[in-house]
Amino acid sequence: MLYRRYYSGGIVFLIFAVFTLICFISWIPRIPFSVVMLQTSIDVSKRYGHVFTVSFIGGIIATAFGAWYSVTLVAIYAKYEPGNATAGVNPACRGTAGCSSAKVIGLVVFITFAMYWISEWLKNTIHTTIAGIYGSWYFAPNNPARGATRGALRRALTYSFGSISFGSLLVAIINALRQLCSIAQNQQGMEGNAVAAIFLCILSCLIGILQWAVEFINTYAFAYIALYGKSYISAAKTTWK
Amino acid sequence: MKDRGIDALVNECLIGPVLTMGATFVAYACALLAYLYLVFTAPAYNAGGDFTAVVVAFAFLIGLQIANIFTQPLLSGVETIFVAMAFDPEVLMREHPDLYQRMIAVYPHVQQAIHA
Repeated sequence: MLYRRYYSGGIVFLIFAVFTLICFISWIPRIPFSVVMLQTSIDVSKRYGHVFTVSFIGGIIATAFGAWYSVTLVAIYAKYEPGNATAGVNPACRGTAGCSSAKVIGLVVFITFAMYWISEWLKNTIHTTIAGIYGSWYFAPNNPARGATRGALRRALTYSFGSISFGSLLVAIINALRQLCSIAQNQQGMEGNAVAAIFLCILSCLIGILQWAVEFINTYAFAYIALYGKSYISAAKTTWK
Repeated sequence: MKDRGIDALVNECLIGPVLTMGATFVAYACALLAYLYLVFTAPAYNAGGDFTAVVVAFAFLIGLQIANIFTQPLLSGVETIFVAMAFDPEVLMREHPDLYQRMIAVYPHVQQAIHA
């Protein structure tokens, strides 16, 4: 970025780099504990179930899904964008099909929300499945259950399906609110309304903290659900205490 | 989990931040590749440079999401061990004595957290 003379972007990245360095130095005493946890987790992944297969298949599905989303996004623009002064009228809009910018915006918001929800759901399903595999290792390391992966995946997709969808929906809604805030903030900033822009900035910061908390609870709540099979709300409460 | 002090353990564990940093690095690499692709191939739709920011941001997001999903199993495993430790610590001592010993050796606070 500096090479291309985008100084503002380059300076932001430099600050990030310095910040990372400071973090790393302050982390040095905590490394041994992390090493033990990481070694354990890798040992388990190697010996029990099909942890890497699950993550690999999940990654492929996520990639395919991202490609699908890109195609849909472009297709919406191609079909419903009314066109502008330089490009002329969109040929797909002639005839009966109604085109408007409002339709484009609505559809884009809808598919982005749906896409985010589904990708969160996918991530959480992988998480719950793997938590189930680790659970079978934790509670019975000497006589591992046969088909641990299959069992965990089945439970994540049937009994825990509602809990996972609900937790992902919460995250998706909060993220949508946050995006809404930042769009509104940009608009107010464009119109030169400084007070409203600052207020919206603080609001989106608060929503960001909320999102962080919900994601944190989700992570442990889903692990709890995978181990003990409770409902989402009670699992979240238990893990928070 | 707070009652048991496992939250201190969670904060002590660096795997989450390190993997996040790794995913962010992958995402930056994706963004850089997308940018270089735009610079070197100079496609017709980007003649005015209008789409550079959009394409780079999109590459960043997709790279971040996919890298996160690929590193998920290690993170999930560690988190599950924490949850299981918080709710059934005696299983840890009975079934995994070697792991328990190693944890105490590197982080003595574990003992208090589990017995609290």
